[in-house]
Amino acid sequence: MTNKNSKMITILQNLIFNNKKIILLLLTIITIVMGYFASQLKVDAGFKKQLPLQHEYMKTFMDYETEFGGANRLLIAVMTKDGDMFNPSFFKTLEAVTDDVFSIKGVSPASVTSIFTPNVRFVEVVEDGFAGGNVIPSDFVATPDMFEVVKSNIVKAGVVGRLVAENFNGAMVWAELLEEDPVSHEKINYQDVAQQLEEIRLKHEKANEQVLHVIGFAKIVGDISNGAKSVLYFFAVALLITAILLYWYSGNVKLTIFPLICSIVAVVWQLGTLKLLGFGIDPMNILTPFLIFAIGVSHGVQMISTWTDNIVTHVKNNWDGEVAAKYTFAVLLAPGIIALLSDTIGFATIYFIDIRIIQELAITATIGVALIIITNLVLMPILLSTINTSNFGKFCHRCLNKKNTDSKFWKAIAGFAKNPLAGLSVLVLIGLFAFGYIKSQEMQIGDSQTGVPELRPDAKYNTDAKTISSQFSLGVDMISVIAESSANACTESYKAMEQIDRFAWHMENVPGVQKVITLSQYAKIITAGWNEGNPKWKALSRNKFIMRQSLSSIETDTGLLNKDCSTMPIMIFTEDHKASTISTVVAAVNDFREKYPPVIDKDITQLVSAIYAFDSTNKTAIQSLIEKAGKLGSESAEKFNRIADAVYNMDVNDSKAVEYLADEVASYVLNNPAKLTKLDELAEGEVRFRLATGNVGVMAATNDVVKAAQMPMLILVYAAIIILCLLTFRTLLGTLAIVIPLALVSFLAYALMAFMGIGLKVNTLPVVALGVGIGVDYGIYIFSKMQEFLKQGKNLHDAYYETLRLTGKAVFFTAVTLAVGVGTWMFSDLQFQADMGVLLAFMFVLNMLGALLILPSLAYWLMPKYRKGS
Amino acid sequence: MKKNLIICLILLSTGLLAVDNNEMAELMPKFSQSLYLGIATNNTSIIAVGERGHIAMSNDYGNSWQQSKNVPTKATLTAISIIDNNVWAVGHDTTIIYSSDNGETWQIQFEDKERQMPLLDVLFINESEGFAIGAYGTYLSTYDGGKSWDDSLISADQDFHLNKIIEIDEFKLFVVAEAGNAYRSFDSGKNWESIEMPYSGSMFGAISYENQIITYGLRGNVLVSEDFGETFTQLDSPVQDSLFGSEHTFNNKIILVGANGAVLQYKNMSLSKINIPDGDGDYTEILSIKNNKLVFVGESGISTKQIR
Repeated sequence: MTNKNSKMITILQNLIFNNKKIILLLLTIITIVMGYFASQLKVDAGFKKQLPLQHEYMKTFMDYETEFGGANRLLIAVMTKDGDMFNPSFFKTLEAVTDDVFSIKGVSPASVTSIFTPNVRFVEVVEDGFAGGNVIPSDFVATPDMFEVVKSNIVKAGVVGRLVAENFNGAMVWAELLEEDPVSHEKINYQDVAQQLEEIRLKHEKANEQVLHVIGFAKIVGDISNGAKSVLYFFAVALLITAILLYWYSGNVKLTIFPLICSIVAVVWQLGTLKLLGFGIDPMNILTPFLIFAIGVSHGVQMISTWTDNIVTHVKNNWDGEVAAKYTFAVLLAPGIIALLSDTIGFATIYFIDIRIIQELAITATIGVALIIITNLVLMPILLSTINTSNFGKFCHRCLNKKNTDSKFWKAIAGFAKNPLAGLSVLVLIGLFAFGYIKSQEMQIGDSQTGVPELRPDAKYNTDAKTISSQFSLGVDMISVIAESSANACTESYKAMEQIDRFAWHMENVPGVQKVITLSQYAKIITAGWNEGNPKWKALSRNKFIMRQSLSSIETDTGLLNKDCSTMPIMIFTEDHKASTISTVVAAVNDFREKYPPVIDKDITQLVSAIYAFDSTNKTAIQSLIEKAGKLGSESAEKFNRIADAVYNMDVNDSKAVEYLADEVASYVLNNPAKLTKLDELAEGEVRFRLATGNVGVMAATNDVVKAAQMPMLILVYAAIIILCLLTFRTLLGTLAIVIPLALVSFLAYALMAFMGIGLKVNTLPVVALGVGIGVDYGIYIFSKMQEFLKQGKNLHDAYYETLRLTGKAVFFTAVTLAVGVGTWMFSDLQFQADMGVLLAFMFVLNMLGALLILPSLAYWLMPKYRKGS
Repeated sequence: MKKNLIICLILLSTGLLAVDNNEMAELMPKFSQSLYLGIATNNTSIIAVGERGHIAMSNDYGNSWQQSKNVPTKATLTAISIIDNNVWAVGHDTTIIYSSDNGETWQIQFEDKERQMPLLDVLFINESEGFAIGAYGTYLSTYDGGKSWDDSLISADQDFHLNKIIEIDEFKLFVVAEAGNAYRSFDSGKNWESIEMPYSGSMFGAISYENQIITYGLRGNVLVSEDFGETFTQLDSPVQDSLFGSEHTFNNKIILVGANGAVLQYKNMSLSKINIPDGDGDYTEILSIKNNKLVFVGESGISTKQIR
């Protein structure tokens, strides 16, 4: 450490210790205020927060959210306990459940679908043409005859497997949730929705002899929030375990309580800051406060360890807490700040993943760690300085005895700073690297299991989902590709429909795809229907009249087409949402898109951008529109006719003509609102297939983002750590000795994830970055102390032995304490919490082992000049 | 040597250019699980035709199926006729395709996309004489194996869809059509006369058995004529599902198949329902092969079943 640095430290030391009463008062006030704010913090879950909105797929999602709904669907299955559904009680329940779903706040009424809703109709062929109607006739009474009619209507409506279970032992109600009220823009409360769903379930299960299964994002949020409440218990358990271990370690009540106080203060401040920033706490994010607590404890232990070590070196019976505190502050300020800055940067890098919920986590964690710099490096020394040193003799004698007796354990560990252990350790390191690297390649991006991976496989939600996908042929996993074409393509363009149909068939041939549903299939079925149900007519017709006849009865509320029939989703139901399945489907879509790229119409593209850029007060804009519309000629698409007419022979200076044009433009824009994604206009009959909506579409986008972010994120974390270490320790080889064990642990963590079937995804990606951030603390503290001893002229082995007895002990203790703390998460109701617990415990322990066993061995090989002291 | 190679390459590339890939039926893994509408056999191969120009072939009595690799159309094929190694298939876009090598390679004999009409059945009575019929009375006939087709209508003043053409004997042909109409020919298809059947719904198919013509169609209706269409007897049908296909099996049974997995047996002017294991979807045709096996084709593809 340079002179300049130590001067700075002295100034800071004086500043803090001379004003400790004021600072203490200030910190208390801040804590009280922050505590108040923290208590106001609300749980805030959101669907869109989990979407990488900048990703191509999610732009498609946003472009068509209002037209086709997103992936925010609710499915409520009413199943009989035994026997089939054709009994009065079942129909009463299903009707009541349908009605109840309508009344859930946030449900889009038009989207509610069951055999009781009018948007489900059947069509049948009779001698003189078609007959059709609602599945449940208006004169429905529960008689055996009527049930026969309803059963045949269900079959004719083609909803078996979708709205009705394959063997008629249950039926479903579907609904789409709107995250924002379209009028008031008020956000829905997912927990309320989940609560209402649970009430519907309870009410109908209690009253009748049916069983209800409920799935959907809102239900997931509800279940996760409920599970997240248990986090508080885990927090309490971890606190208790930490306290017990701290007491065992320090042998003193105050030394036990102070690190806990500092850490809790950091958490309180963190939560208060969140509230001040206008955030809520997301259930997925509820673990960050605990991490902050853990990091706080980790640094606190270093403090008490150094303090204890220093105080006993004082002249007998002149143990001065304040002097020791000042010393501790001076010694630990630099490594403390470096370590915490590395943590901060580690967390901050997560921000680069463009998903709101992860960015919230990055902000939450970054703020938390930054606050620890104050609580641990300012508050902690002040608290230590207040320790009353009378009656302290017994404690200090014990400490002194401990200090003066050689420890066999640490002696053995110190052996890693010389051969043969140093050589052996490096060999093991290389072996583990190879193993870790190979195994880590097996790690999946995204989910590697079926069901909702945030919840336990045997959680109610996952068993519900399993029941639904086994009883109904359509699973719950769907990726919807949006086909864009010219206006009225579905009836006027055989070419477009043929292309869409071909695409759907290609998708049906992709492994992992269960079923594909799109408008062209309905067009074929209805065309056959118009020809007396003869399957030989089950084909797309080149005849526009036939196509109009076939498709006129299909409403937009089927979700198969938009208002002007220029856009048709292709719903691809997949067997599961495993990452491998998703990437196979996405690859197949891309393959098809590359083979058949749509032809662009440049003139129309320019015209459309001129229309959106139109400004009746700007002559250039008007002129440009006149020019672009004039270019189209007489063969232009129908939807531009009125604008083309308006600009015909138009004079820019004629204010009446401009006004007329402005009206036409306004009406065009009203009917064709600009999409978020600016894409070129297609030539007549061309089709553009856009990925993707549906829950699997969301996952595909998320997996993409996570995959793309993973490497840059790690590179940033490591770059930051390397730079900080270089600046502090001014040795390249020493820095390597710190960073290489960290890199090994990163690989091993990936290998562990592959081994345990934990995929790299939104929930787990931060863990790896956090693990690196926390792991580096150990290395920094150890290396900093060791460097100090080396500079005093000790040889590597002795320097390391001394380091171990002080810092090493603290590192070992911290890692074990934290690992036990997060280890308890394994018993959580939430799968992702359990997974995170295992991963974090693994990283804490392995980073500790890396710092204690590998770092000295690397130092031995990389810095041979220190092998012998000077 | 080098020169030859270049010439080879040029020939190869021009050969590839000659076929517009976009018009060829695509080879797909699940080709056998899509809609099939016609099936026939010449005792060495079984060939089935269906939507998207899919042609499935089996050389092992229906145990395994291969997709024919070079079908020059993506139109939905509705029917097939085989005489020895000569195979004709017809379908939408008024398409007629022909194979002289048992279904290995195909060429287009007739196609008219702009007509916007499907052909619905094809019948060859020997390797040169054949008929293709379809929507709005379309009636195509050939006497040179399809090298040239005479494009005509079955009736000058009617435009009913013609659904099925069958051979009764050396000279007699019979056609069932839309809305209770049928046609018969006494002179191998040169002249046709119109018949009005007692049931006004459409008949989708017919099969000749001993001295009877059994016609079947809309909503399970089955009508039998024992006098070449002079009179018909309507049978009591156990189903309301439309019937689309039929077969005279090796063990001398008449089987009818149709919508919603309907399978009926005809015997002595009466019908009985046969329950089929794993019956599903609409069956469009059926073929009897040896070992008491039946090949069903329809909405969900091709399935081979053993029936007692």
